[in-house]
Amino acid sequence: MSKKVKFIVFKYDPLSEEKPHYVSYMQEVDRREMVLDVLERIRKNIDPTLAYRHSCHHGVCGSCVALVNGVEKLLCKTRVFNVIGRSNKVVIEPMRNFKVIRDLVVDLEPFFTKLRIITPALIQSQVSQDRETPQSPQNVEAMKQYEECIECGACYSACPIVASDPLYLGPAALMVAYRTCLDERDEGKMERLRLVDSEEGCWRCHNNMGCTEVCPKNVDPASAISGLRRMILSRRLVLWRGRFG
Amino acid sequence: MVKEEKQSHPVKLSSIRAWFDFKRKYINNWLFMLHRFTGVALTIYLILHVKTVSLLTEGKEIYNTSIKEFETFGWLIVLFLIIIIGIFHGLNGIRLFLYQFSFGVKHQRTLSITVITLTAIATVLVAYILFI
Ligand code: SF4
Ligand code: SF4
Ligand code: FES
Repeated sequence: MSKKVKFIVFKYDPLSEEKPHYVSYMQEVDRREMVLDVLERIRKNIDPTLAYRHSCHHGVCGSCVALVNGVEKLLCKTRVFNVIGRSNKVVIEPMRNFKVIRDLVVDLEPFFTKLRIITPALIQSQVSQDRETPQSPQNVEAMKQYEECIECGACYSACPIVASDPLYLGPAALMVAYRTCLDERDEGKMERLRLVDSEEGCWRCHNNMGCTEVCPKNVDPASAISGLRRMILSRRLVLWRGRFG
Repeated sequence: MVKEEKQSHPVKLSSIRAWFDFKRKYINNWLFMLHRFTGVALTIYLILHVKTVSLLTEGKEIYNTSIKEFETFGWLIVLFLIIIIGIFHGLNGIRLFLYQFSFGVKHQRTLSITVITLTAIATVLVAYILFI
């Protein structure tokens, strides 16, 4: 089964154009086709200047996120028939909260900078060259959900607080901070908690849950932010008890 | 077929307008937006309330005549709305408070639906008390 679908695509080249504009393409779409497949066809047959990111086509690399009818989606995992509704129309736009480099390609640098700030790797004072650091199966289980993150930026785009406060660390960085704090092999927990226990850290989140809603890997960054708050509060409670108890 | 299209484009970088994006159609976003609208409404009410009560400092007579102006059906509807808004804001506030401290994280949807259901029940009850 196939259908004629109208694709309305955001086009913008900040180097030569003052304002973005939208171009529509009518396409015959098969029911199995993903939005990315159609974009590939448009680029090949109609508009070779159309710019978008893609790599794995399997929902693994996290490079193809864009807004599909206003919602952050992995283009390679979004079936056209699932998003057209009754209007038979698909609007494709770049992610929110990022500067557009060209068409659907955005500058992800602020997102990755914030990830780097919280040191997303294990911090260990002594690393043995010939032996693995053991981790209990329970600890692996507790972290599993957060390990699924493919650093696609969808949550960062969906967060209204990032939009109003560009300094806010954002859901992905905070989720990674929580994940590393959960890791029993890590020795940087106190340092990270100090970092996120700040105005631009986990207290800035206003529980809109947009991040959790759009995450293509069901990571649930909002629950991680809540977990961070609980860790910080228990740490404060311990300090407080030590002082007055 | 290729055609130029007219379309408003996504919310700009660092814009408070992003807080009120009706394209995000999920329950927590509706509650998030409503919480802000009701917060502003309650603040306005509070200011008006304090202003009215402060008339007492100008004497009993003045206060009584001004308060009489509020005894209309129109103001009764405003009062009704304020009570509902207050109830919603309070209930949603409790949900947010619990969430802030990591309680019920896995039951967010249920909690959000509970807030909406309780507000709906309260609306019917308050309407019954005020108007029937
Ligand atoms: S948490 Fe989800 S939405 Fe955010 S970067 Fe990771 S995979 Fe993407
Ligand atoms: S829950 Fe927090 S981090 Fe997630 S979208 Fe909302 S404000 Fe942003
Ligand atoms: S192309 Fe890799 S996730 Fe879509």
